[in-house]
Amino acid sequence: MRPPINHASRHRPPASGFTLVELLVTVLIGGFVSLGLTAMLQAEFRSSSSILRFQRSSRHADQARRFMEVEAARASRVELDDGALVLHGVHPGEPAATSSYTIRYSAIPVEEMNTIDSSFRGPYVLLRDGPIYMVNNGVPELDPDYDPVSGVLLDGLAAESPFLVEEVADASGSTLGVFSLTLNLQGGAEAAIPQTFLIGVATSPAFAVLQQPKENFISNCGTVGCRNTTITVGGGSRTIQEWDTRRLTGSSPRVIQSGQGTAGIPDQVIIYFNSPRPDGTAIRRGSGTNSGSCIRTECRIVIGGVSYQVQRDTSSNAARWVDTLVFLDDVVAVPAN
Amino acid sequence: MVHAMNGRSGRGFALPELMITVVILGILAGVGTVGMLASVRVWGLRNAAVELAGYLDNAQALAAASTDACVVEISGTGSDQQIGPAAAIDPNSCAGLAPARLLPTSPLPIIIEVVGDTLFTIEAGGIVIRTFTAVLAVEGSDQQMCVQIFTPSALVSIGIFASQNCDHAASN
Repeated sequence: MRPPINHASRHRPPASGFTLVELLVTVLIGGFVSLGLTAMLQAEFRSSSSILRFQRSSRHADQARRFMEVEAARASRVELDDGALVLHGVHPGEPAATSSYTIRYSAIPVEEMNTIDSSFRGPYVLLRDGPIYMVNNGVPELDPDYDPVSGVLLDGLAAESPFLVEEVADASGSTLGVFSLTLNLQGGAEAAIPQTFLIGVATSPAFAVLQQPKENFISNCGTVGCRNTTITVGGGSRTIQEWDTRRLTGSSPRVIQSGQGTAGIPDQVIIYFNSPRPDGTAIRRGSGTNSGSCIRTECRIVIGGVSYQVQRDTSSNAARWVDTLVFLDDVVAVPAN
Repeated sequence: MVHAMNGRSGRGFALPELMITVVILGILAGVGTVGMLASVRVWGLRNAAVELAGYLDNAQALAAASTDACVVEISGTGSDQQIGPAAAIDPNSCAGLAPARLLPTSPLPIIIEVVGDTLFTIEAGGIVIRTFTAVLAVEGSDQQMCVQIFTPSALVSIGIFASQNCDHAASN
């Protein structure tokens, strides 16, 4: 007896799986697709990580800029020294303080800063060399009892021109006490991206003249000083009077009158001495007073027991009184308000 | 399928074949799971460090704009550790900051251990007097990360903590 014919089985395609070649091709294609997806994900992750890192760097750069602005606003003199920004005569912040400090900002290779406690990304870091802070009645101020220390303000500066400072004029075109600070941040593998800030320095506009003596030559200076010498600064004329330099050995006091009656600019008399205050000197108020501030009063400097009157402009009909005495790196009197 | 290819349809896989296949798949799955768990731990650790750094950045910004100091405190234990303004300090320029968990999101119960000071002060104006270092660690792992705040400008950096050194070059 013949077995019944299974029509369904007869019309079904022959049972077959994947061939080895098909499997291998499938595995290869799947492998390539997986590798491609993985590479895309890794690239996306790296890009995202790089963006986040740069965003953090930018935020930190802005933070460092604000910090530097505060310290620069307390400085009496600013200079560039071998690419570093140096603030001289930085007031510690306590109103009655009579001492001042020097703070230096510089970009250094990261290899010079890495310590046993921490290492930085670099390739350059922005370093601050200066006095540390302490808290006095809840207010941070520079601590006179500690030696200067180094601290990192910013990491990730680019190797190429990481630190550039330029003097620029303010909106009125008459102030040279505003500095442009450019920090090139390293944005991962990408090219460095510059971040440029403006830092205002609370120096007298005319004081910039002293920073650029070649460009602003002061003439008519005799052996007794440069009285009533008018020079041009930023398009406006200023009067600089140099007082009797013979009385102060080794220094060159200069009186700078800012404002000159200009609306919105206070009249101030600032006396700068191009040397540190000599040892043994004292600042006295009036000839018969042994102590006290000479701000807006008759001011005398005592050297070697001899009292010299330094600030009164007797050539003018209206007597002018000193607001600030600035010795190089040493502010000895500051305006009361 | 190999059987089908050889024309021996109708015969299933032999028990040894199945067992070998299961063992191989098990080994592969085990290796993959271990690697994935390690990756998740690292991800959680890094995420916690970034969150802590971001929180401290915000605290610095608040202190910088205030005449009062900002004091933050790390409290709690295990996976419930959180950072927030120190309640005992008044006035506190960071009083308005909402407390945040040190590990806000994680698919695994990763425990963060903060080593070091749990109280940190950013002075008025955003100035830091003493450097602050928090070391974040995962329980049962050698992975550690650090979050540091430097004097005097409160620069906040993230790094891998290794051999008592916070290596910002690797993670910052």
